[in-house]
Amino acid sequence: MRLFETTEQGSVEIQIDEDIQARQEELAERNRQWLRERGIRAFDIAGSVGAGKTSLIAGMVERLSGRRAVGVIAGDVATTYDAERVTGRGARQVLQINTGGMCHLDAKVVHQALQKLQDGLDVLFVENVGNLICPSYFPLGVEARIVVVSASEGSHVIEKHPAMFRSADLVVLNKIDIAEAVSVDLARPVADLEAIRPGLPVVKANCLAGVGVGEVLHALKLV
Amino acid sequence: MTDLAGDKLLPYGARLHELSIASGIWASVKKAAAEHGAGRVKSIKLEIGALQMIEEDQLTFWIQTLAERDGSPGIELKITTVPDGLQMRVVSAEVDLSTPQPKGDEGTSQ
Repeated sequence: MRLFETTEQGSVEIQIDEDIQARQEELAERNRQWLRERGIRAFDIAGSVGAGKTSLIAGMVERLSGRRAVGVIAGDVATTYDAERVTGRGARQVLQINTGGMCHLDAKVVHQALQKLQDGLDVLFVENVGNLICPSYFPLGVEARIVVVSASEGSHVIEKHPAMFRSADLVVLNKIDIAEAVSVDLARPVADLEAIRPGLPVVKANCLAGVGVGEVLHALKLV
Repeated sequence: MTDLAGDKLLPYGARLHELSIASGIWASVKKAAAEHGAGRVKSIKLEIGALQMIEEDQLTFWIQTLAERDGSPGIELKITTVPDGLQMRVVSAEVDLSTPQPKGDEGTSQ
């Protein structure tokens, strides 16, 4: 940092040259290192409100029960409903973050939650706040981001939210059982995804009924 | 076993995407101004990648609000948008050396 130009009487322009986004990456790297040191494989589950994030997590937790020590961090603006839905499915620990209005989780708030985890976990699912926009700019420092999108969000949902799907490592196309009832041709979101992120894995699912959940676990190499 | 009762984490700072970013920008500018012994901040130059999809009016509003709280009212934002970029760079700030350092906590979170 240095002074470099006097602009008027008593004023100077100071060079700062700091990338605020890079700061988010630094905080995410701190989480990545924290998780790596403890041998915890962590996953960010993102998607709209009602896409089926909690159903997917509950299904994955059930299938991993007895085989893995799983922790869940559920992020919501308010309430503990999501954490309660996952509780009793076989997770060793369930934490709820209430953001109080913040529309996404970020690496800093996740780091606070990590400090409250028990020792001995080997898998962690972090459920992001329901939102298809803001979370895409806030890396959490986890191994992979799974974006859940449901047929009920319409045919163009992927095309309308390119940043979110660019940031995804796996997409779960959920509620396929109701696609016809809501006049959605599933070929459209799949084609849009291929245009935005060629080769990105897509799992068609009905998480509430357990369809596709095992395939997600295979894709994440958790089974 | 759950930690629902005992470990419910409380609200954390910023409430919106733009406010969160504005807080980070203002914290960066305030720190730089303090390091130079400067007082009121008059303007800030930013370089924002178009892929950040920032609402510039809202970002400006939040930065001006934070700056006013810390003794720098009427701050001007000079924003350059970079096509296809993802950066959120604070390039520089014009500060007034003749006024006292801005007040307020240094720990404005983002």
